[in-house]
Amino acid sequence: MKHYNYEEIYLYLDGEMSPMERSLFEDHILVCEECAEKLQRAKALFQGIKLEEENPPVDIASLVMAKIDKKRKLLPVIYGIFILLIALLTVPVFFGLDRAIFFYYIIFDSLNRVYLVSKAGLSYLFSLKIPAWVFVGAGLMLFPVYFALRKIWRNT
Amino acid sequence: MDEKELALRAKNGDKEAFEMLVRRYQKGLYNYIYRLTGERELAVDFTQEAFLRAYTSMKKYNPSYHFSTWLWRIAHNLVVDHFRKGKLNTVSLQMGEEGEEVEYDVESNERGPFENQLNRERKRIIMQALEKLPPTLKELIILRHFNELSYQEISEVTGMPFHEVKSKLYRAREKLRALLEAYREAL
Repeated sequence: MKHYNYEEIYLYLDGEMSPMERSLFEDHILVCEECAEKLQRAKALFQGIKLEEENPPVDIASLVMAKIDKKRKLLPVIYGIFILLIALLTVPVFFGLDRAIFFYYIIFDSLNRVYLVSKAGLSYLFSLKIPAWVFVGAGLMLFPVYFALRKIWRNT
Repeated sequence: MDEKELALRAKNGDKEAFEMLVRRYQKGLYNYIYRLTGERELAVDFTQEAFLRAYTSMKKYNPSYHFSTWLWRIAHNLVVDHFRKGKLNTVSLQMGEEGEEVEYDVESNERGPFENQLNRERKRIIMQALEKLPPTLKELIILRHFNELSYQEISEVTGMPFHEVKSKLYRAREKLRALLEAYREAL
């Protein structure tokens, strides 16, 4: 009588035998004490290895989804900047280098004006010597406005 | 909803379907990585990273494969890369201190103190025996006995040929049997 070895018995317990092999094995076990004992030993080993899975210490799904949301919100901004840069760089191709330089100059000049006006505005503000608590108070008042706007934005 | 349908919906950009997949597999994947690395914090980080990588390459996912197998493959590569970079000196499965173990063992709260003690002892012995296996064999045992993957799925996750999975699993179990018997005799 052909006996089964442990490798074959493991295949049976792992559900990796074909239906035909399974049926032959099950018939054999009924008449072979030696193989039936091997099967019991293999089952005991499998039972011994089995461990319960433990729960992760944190809710990983929430962390993953929060990261995905953050990424999705940032993506349009990144794409926007990228498209703008490409558009600016392709100006000379369509309008010639002279016009492109003039165009870049206008952009630079506008940004420079914004910077100078902001600087002057801030200098004027500091020259008024307004107490710090006024700024802090004004800053705090912006929070309800921000949350109200966010709520409106989310609802739309 | 079954895995295939969820994976297809996620592939077409359905975020809710992806979240359902994350919820379905987070525990299994976390346990796979934790058993391999022996570090809970690292396991949490890698589980997140595996899901994020899956999300960003969802378009490349081939629906003819199981989503879970694909996910496990991503996690396997992450852990292998990490070992290669030498960030972990050993493939440690060393358990933490006793107190630390109880803290995370949610199921243990449902049992009596004596059963908890026995369960902890059993867990410790199995983990020590697993620790003594070479990393490849240990991974096979984890994938088969903890994650209950089929030989074909294990072959896809590890990139090992099917016949090698079969023979190595046999070797791993024989080694484990010898180790566990030695522990039992020592007790």
